[in-house]
Amino acid sequence: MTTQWWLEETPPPEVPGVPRLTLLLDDAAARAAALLRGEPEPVSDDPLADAVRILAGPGGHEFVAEAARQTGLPEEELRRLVLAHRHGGSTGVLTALAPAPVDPAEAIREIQARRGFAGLTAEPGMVTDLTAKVQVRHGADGRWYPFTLWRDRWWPATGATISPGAAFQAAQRARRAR
Amino acid sequence: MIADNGPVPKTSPPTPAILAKTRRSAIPEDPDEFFVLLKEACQGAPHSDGLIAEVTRRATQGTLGPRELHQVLLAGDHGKWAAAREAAWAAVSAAPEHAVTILNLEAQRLGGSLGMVEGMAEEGVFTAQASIGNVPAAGQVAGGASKKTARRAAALSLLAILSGFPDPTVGAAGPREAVAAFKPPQYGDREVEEWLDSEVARDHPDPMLIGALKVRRLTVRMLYLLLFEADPRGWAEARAIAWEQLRGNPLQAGGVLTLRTQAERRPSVRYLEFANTTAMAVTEDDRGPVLGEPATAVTWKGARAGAALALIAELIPPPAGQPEQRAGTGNPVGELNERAQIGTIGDLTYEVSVTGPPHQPFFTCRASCVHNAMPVSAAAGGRGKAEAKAAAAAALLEQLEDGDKAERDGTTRPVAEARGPVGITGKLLRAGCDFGYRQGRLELGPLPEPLDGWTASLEQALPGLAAAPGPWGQAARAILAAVAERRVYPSVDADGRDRWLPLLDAPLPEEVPAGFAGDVADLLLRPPGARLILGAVPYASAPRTLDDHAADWADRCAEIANPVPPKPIIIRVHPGTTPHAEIHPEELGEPELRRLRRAARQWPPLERIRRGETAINGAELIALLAAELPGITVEWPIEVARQLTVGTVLRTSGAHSSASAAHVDWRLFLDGEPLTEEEQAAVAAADGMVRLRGAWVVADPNLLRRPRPREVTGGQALAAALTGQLTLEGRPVPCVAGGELRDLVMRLRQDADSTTGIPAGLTAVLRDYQRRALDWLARVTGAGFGALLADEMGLGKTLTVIAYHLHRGGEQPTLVVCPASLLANWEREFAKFAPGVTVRRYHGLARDLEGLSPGEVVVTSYGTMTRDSDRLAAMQWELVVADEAQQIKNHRSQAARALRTLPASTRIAVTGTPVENTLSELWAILDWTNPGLFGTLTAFRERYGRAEHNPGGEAAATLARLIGPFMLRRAKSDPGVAPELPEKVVSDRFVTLTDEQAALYRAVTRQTLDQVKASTGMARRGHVLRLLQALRQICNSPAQYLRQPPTGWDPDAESARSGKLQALEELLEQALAAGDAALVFTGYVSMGHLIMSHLAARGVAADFLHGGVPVTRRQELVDRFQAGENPVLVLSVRAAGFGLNLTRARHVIHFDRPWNPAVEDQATDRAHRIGQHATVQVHHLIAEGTVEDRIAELLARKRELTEAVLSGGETAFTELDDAELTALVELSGGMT
Repeated sequence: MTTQWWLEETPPPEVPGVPRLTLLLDDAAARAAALLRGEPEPVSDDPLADAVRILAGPGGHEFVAEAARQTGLPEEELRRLVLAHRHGGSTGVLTALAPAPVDPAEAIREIQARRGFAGLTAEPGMVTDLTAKVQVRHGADGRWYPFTLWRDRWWPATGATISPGAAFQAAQRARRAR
Repeated sequence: MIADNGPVPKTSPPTPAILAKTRRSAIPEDPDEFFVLLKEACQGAPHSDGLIAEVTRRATQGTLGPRELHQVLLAGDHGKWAAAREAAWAAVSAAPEHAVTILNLEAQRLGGSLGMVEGMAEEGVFTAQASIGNVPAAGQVAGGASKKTARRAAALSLLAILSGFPDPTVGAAGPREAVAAFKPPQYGDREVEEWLDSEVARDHPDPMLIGALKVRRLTVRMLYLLLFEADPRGWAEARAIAWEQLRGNPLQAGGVLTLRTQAERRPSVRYLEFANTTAMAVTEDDRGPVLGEPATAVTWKGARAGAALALIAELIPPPAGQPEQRAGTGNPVGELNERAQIGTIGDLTYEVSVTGPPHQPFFTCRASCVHNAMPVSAAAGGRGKAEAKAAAAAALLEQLEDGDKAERDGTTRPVAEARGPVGITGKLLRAGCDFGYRQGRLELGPLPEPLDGWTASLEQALPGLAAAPGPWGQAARAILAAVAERRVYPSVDADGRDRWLPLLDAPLPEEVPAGFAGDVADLLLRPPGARLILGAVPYASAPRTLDDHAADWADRCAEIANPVPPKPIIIRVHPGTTPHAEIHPEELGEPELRRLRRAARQWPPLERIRRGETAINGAELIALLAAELPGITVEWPIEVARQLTVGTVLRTSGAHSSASAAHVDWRLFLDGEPLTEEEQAAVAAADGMVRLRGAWVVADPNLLRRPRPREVTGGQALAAALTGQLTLEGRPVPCVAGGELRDLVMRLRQDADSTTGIPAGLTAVLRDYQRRALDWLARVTGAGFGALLADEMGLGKTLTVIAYHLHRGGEQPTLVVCPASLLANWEREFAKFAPGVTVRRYHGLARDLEGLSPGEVVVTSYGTMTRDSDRLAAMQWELVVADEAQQIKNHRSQAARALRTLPASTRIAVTGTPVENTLSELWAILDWTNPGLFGTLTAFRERYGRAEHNPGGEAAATLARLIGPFMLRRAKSDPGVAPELPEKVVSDRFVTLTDEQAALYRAVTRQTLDQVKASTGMARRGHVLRLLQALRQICNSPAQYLRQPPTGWDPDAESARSGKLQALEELLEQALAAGDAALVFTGYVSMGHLIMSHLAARGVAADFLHGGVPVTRRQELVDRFQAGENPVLVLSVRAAGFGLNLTRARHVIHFDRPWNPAVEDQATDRAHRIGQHATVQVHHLIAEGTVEDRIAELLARKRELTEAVLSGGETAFTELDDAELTALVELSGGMT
């Protein structure tokens, strides 16, 4: 990588400092490289989802506290969203914030077909098994995103998929792995 | 059935669930529960014996359903289940309609479908042949009276093969030849189309239909029905056939699309044509426009067909393609195991089932795993178990890779984007669609409906631009490559806002506007989320107008980042009553403009001048004089005198005194000279420039408007006059001296030829530099000031002071204060060089000041002076000399305070230590010589503190101007000194025995002399030698004589016991402070060790070279000394006799004398060989009034004689008679 020789000029206080400029440079470099490879990562129009994308990137974790100050969100919530991004990209983040409100009836049927007993509660775009502490949420991309309950919050898990049943299983697996 | 769990240990205990089932013996009533039990039993689970009996019973009764029969026939164990299987086979044979159902179940299990090829062998004879997906086995072609019976018979045939029973169709009744000659019938396209039309409404196609589709060329209508009307999941196989055919013959695609638009009542499909016979097809659906990928072909017809095909692919979920041969996988089972081990897949299992007759078994295997939380499985068959397993594993790997690909596609190009504006824009751009670019937006086209007026943001367009042909794509890729390599830098745009720019290898193609590069870089470096992390700051969130600091930083960064340096820029100032300025060169590129922008932040008129308004007023000119414009040269014409400054003219009235007031006259200065009244008036009248003394001067009428102090003290005035700077309110202003003050300064500065004659009574010849010192002393003290003589050691300061004392004469006595170890020296030097002067030692118990006459000299130590300051202060002194004045470097010390109380007409401080290196020490000494002249210590430090760390700086230069007249320091190497100096300067350092030494000396002398007198011959000689040795050791140190070990050395106590140690310390201190190295010679190894202990305790790095040091080590010590690692080398005289080269030494100290001139010279010459260019200072330490003193006298006076007499060393003394010996050794002088 080219050295940023101009970074040796100490920026004045009103300009972001070297670590912050480096964050911007690294993020831009990664996206430019992806564009050149023809595999661009879609940038979300939603500033929060995009901020989480940056925080989830290399070096982003050092800015969680700063982002918490800027957004007013608790650091833990930001870390939860970062996890959501790792597992499901920008859609994962938005789904962790709020599911896409679709009728959950079909999803309940499929999950029950796999699990064989009831005990599910449903809201638009969301099916929850409180006893098992797992949940699936519908994302704007049509996939179902697995979540598990931990410390009274729903934490994103890996394994988002078109099938609500498979997502539910993924959530169960994540829950067991905890 | 075999379960193979790969890495799982095969001896795993039965699970609780299995144990529970084992205990259950009753046959369940519920048919579903019965089926589950049966299925598990067939697959090897433990079961009660009653189950097989029950199954056999039900089969015989004909009450066993197809799913149970399927299990028994195709999964049941051939041995244990034989009876049940026979019964089941009989049941199927009796009810052949079950055979079709059973095969369908088997096909489902294997992931394929049941295929049936039907025909009519002849009128009334129908034929059929059954097969399952990828199972390489087919039943016999079976015939029947109806389609249905033929199909059942065919199914029974296949089932027989799979379950290992004899094929009933073989040898069965029927027209064998007719059946054997069967060929599939030729249905007409219309018929198949109609058939399809009704069939596509169903969830799954009839297997026979698929068979029919496989063998024919599909019409456009069939393709349309299959691709757009059939259920994508149920009809997957049929759709795959359709898709494969369409791909092979894309010319049908347009027709298929037309059928779709007709059916859905949409406008017809439009084709976009681009360069290189590239076409795209566009239509719309309920959500908006749908655009296919671009297609390129040799002809436009081909391109349009390809475009249509691509559009179909866009409209329908593309059917899974034919599995491609996996490259380079030798062992799919191994690869799967590997994946399971690293955890990319989980729960890997293989289920192998065997079918077919025992002599020709056929194995099918199903490989399953969990990948990304989704169960994935694949089945395949083979003639051997391993073959089946490998085939299944390979099939599973294929599925996993398809899944991975789908997963990647899912994340990299979600459905919404492919369909949405980004996807459509991307396709258009990749195809080479034209567009207009303005302010971060692209207007594409012209394009037909439904894409007319299509626009996209740069962000939406970037993925497409990155892959676009032509200059835009080239530009986009160049910019992206720069950003990807972090070749971007912050800059300022024309409106003064923050902007990122890429650093490009080559200029962008001319079709691309200049702003595009920055737009792309800016877009990438300001992601929407940055504001939520870094806040609303420049270069992260929306651009804003930068303040000067930030803009200057950005311009600096841009300058650093750009490899092209700006051309030199010159601002030429044209003087006159209406001055103006020009910028050169006139043609400026971006780097030059950036540099000008930076400069304009320092000097704003530059911006105006760049636009052509070149006139500048006086205030701007003054600002230009003060401004430092980075990277820009300001050219003033020669006739412009740089700048007017404010300065002062100082005048004192009457004689100078530190306390009296001096008048301050504020003036404008030009080139260090004050202006006259008329000139000042001309300046006041001008705006801009004024002509003074033949040059244009920038006039600043505000300079003199501020009220300023009019008076300073005489001390301040003199200091200011000397330095050329008056410090007022913490700020220096230039100043010159006027009137008497100027005369005084000139007198002090004068470096006139010798005016002072050789004083009468001086018996020495002064060297030139010593005469200059005498002149200087006379001049400075004549003006009423004290002086500091700080020449380097060895230049004869004592002689100079003695000469000055003689020159001065005077009404009162002179007082010399020096360290106790130097008292004898002063006395002797006076005696030697000014024998007419009475010198009184004021030291010890019997000291008095009674009856001093004018011109008499009193020498005293600092200690005595401090104790007796009251008595000494009661006298009026003509001259007080403080020798080794570094003793009062701490102005708060008792000695320093006592010294200040002594009333004197003149004060002279003498030191060889470079005190100027430490500012407070220098001040302490100077302030004693001239109280108040240099201000307080605090003010002094504040003003000149920087000189300590930066000897070449401005503060140091000012300090030198201030103290120059009052301090004289020359080094031996100075050009005015060096030529006069001999190769070596030998000086005797007389030290006084301490009380302890004196007492020891007397006691030993008395005792041993008695022994000498009482003996004769050899005994007498022995006593004499012992006496001499003892006395010499006592003179060195009592510690040596008393054989005190060098351990536990207390340096303070020991130097108080030995005058020589004290003198050694003082000599070394001065030598080392000047950065010089020194050799210390002693005749005694024991003394050498003591000296080493002493130096170590004082923190002086030293080595000791004596006879006990091995020869190899000696060279090492010499090298260390020569390399400057240790500044002091102690040598025993004997060991130093041979070939040592110690030219780094500037000082040679003989701690004791060898009494043999040859030996002594040889030792001294160690330091004085070829290569030594500087003068070597040789010091002899001599204990005053002792045998050493007397022998030294002897040596000095009768060198030739003593060389003869003493060449044998001490033994020569043994020949002396008693009286001579007594005279030689008896302690004399003031020692009481």
